[in-house]
Amino acid sequence: MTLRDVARKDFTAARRSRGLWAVMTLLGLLTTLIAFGFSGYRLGPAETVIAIFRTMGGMFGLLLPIVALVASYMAIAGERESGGVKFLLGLPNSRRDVFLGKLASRLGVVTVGVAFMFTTATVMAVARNGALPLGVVAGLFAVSLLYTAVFVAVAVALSAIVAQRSRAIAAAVGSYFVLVMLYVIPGVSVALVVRFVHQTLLGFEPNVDLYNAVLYTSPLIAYRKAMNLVVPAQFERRVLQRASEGDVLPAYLGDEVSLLVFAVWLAVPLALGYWRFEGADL
Amino acid sequence: MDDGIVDTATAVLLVVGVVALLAPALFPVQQVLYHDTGVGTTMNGTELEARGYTVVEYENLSERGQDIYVATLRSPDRSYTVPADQGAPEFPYDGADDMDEANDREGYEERQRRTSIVIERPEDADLPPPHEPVDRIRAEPPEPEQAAASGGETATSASESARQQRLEQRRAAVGRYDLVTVRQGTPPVTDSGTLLRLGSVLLGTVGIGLGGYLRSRP
Repeated sequence: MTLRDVARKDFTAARRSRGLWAVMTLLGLLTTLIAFGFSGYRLGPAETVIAIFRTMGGMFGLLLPIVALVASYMAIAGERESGGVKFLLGLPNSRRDVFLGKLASRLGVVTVGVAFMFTTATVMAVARNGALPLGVVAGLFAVSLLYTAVFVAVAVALSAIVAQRSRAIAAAVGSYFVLVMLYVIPGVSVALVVRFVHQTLLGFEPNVDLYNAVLYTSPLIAYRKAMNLVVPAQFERRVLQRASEGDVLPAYLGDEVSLLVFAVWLAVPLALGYWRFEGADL
Repeated sequence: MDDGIVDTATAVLLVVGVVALLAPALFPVQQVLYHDTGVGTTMNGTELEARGYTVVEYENLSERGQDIYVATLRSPDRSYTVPADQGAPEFPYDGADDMDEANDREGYEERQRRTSIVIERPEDADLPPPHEPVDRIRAEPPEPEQAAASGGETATSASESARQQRLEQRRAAVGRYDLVTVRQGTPPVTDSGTLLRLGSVLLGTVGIGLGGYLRSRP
């Protein structure tokens, strides 16, 4: 068996899951209904379709991490708990093959799921509005896929680090709260905590760029910024607060930096996960 | 159950699912033209013209324009839609196409002006009643000198009667001018063609989900 065989075997096992098919179907129905119910006020057909996906992007920001984490949290932890990992490694496979094979397989699973959601939404949006702004839809699909891949990487890495199902669940739920919910729940927002420490505890002058930079470490904020890269100017949204109206954001808070944030979130968890898996006593 | 039957059912589900999912995108609904008399105005023709609205006498409308206007008046929700190629030539459906999104009062009024036409109804016209909100027009308050000077009850009553008369005249004048707002857009969600396409996409989604699972299971 090779990396490819590990990926193929895992993908086959994953696609047999009734739960995954049910989730994919439900999400497809959900995006269909959103695309159907959306009504753009005084917008042309193509603009309405873009507005539909822009609105859906807000929902995807919260939903796609759940899809990715649920599809991936047991990738390696499940094999470790059941003992299957010994069988996998008993064949001429290295731990690298298992780790990367599982990652490739889970990326494939969520890619199919996200593609299905986009397909149903696109079909309904086109059927209802008669226009397809292909470049924007493809761009949003690519950005959404990148965002989902970040959470697959995090989940597979955590799954490689822990050895039990219960811990894998706890790690997946915890990562969702730390990377997503802490940036959207008013009152416990990371930005508020940083502002409190910076201004109240340390007594510094307010520094909005600093608080923005801390916010920007979240994949969710990066996703919202990345969407600005692929939509026309009138659909861009202001994601980060500005010190005053007309203030220009520094280059390190630009929309393009979101790709760097994604790259870091893809590379660092995978490197840590692989390092811990490589040295784990199985 | 026989494996052959399951395999056939799975294949049918997948084929039907793919066709039902993709077909609506190949045959999208056509845009429609909306005509709305629900916005209304409390201004008369002269005031509307002064504000830049186009005022057209009912008799000068094309036959199609007259039909659409009457159908809109008869519509219970004060809105009437026709296919995109069946509008009236004098209605400014694309009047605000080159405008940006209106975010302030002036922008909104400008958009309203560009996408509206004021129809002057003939006196004693055999038309359905207009939708103009003439009830919102109130009688002007009595002038203070007049109120102070009118000592007797008879004088007050005459003054009140004159005010009521002026009010009725004003309402009749406003009621002769009907503001029709038009636009081009997607059909409403309750449109039968739109609902048919929704049903097809939902069927396709479930078909692919179910068929995909049946095909993948061990």
